[in-house]
Amino acid sequence: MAQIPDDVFYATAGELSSKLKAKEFSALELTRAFCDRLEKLGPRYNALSLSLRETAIKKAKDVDDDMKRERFRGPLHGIPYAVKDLLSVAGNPTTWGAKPYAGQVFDSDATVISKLNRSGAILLGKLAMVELAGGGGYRYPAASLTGPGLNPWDRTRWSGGSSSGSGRAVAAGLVTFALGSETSGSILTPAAYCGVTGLRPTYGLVSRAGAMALSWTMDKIGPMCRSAEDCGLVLQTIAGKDAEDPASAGKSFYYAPQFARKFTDLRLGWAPADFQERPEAPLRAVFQQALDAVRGFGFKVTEVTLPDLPYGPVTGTVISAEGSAVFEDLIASGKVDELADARQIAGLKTGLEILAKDYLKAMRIRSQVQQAFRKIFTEVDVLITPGRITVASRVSEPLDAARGGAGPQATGKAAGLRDLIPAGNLAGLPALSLPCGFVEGLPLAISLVGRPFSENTLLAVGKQYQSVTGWHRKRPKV
Amino acid sequence: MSRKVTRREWSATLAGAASLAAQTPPAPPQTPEQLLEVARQQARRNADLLTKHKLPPSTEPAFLFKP
Repeated sequence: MAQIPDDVFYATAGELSSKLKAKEFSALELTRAFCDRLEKLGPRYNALSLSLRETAIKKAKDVDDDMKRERFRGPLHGIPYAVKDLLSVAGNPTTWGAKPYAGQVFDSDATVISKLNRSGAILLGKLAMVELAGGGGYRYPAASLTGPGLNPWDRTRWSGGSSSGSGRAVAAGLVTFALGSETSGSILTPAAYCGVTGLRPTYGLVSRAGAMALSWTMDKIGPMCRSAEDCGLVLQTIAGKDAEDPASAGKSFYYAPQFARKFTDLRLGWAPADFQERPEAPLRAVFQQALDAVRGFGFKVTEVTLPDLPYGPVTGTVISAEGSAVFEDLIASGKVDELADARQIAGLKTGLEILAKDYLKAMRIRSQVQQAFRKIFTEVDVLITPGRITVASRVSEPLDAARGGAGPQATGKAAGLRDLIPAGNLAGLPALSLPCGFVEGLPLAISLVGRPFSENTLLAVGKQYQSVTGWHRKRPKV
Repeated sequence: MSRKVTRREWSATLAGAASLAAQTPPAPPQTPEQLLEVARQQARRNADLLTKHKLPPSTEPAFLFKP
């Protein structure tokens, strides 16, 4: 039996695929090694919700049979992955990270899992998450059935949420890629804090059938990987029309960075305040260096500011109203009180009191947000901003006590693209988080945001960035 | 032996306590009722900000019904 070298746990999907084809090891050997690692190290970071070793081993044997016959189904054939525990896997618990749903079992796979299954990817398990994806608003990193998300770079720090286990598992080399979901920041934040590459697809590009709903009008499912290229390969597999998801855009995605427009023909939008004022001082040099690297690709560069709209209140109202409607039965039954985070409980209960006029007003302002982005994207093609303007907070601290950087409200400084996470989510825009350096031994990231369905452009920029920097290759000491 | 406290002493004591209270940050809400009230206040603040934002009457909500 082949010994699996440590480097393999940090290889990209493309690299692993080459090694499988070269028969450096079998899919079964690879799967066993990853399962051992996931089961051994997953609990160290509270990352594992459920191991699916038995079905993974069976699947790996099928992959090896295929490979013996020189039958390759694609770039993810034989590649080990795991999913956020809000995606259903037939016949297995799907907890949504929350105690009231600890025994919940569905009888069919989520669409994205069926698609990955057909591609030959090997599902190793389900990953921890913030309970109910944090829809009620949580105060503590411990707001999860599996405990606080411990960051592989420093276990005293938070991993970010709500796709917290997905970020941790990829960062610690427990899987080659993972699926997460984002309603407002739940892929970008753990990707930034854990130092992995995360892609939030355009709303409607990836089916959510079989996923927990938090906000029907904002939920997206996306990949968290070792590289932009892997994000492209995974997105290519999971994207596409699905009659089971009423929000499906009916579009497919083919990863083709080679056909992206020349960078010299693209316009890059940025705001000086995002790089020079808002982040804490020690972080500014790292973000500036990343910006300089991207500017060096030859973009035409333009300064951009988001228009002054109430992004926070609109996002809060939409998620709260829709999330509380989703969980109305949980709230009415009183089982909502079993959740781990008291603020989340209060938030969900209060969401049921939101008036229709306020929800509709929020959705009308959302139209203006979309319109504002349409205007911005007549002037630029890609927006660039720091992913988070602080390093990961301490796991022992309440999240509202975390360092907030020099926010414009506190300092009177320009807002720049400060609200790009809620604004981009309200408008359903794609975003790519790229690791860009370290401060205090903790990862930092930049985010790229583009117009709807411009994933190939973002991925092409990301791929180029990762070809000239090595931040995505850094590993924590696990 | 007890001593009668003058009005001036009471006033000084109360002023000191008030000043101390002003320096101490309010304790975070602890009980479910307090948390519920905080969440309600946040929802009201959001609603107020939404109300203040003026829109043309023709602005439709950002969702589409597809028959």
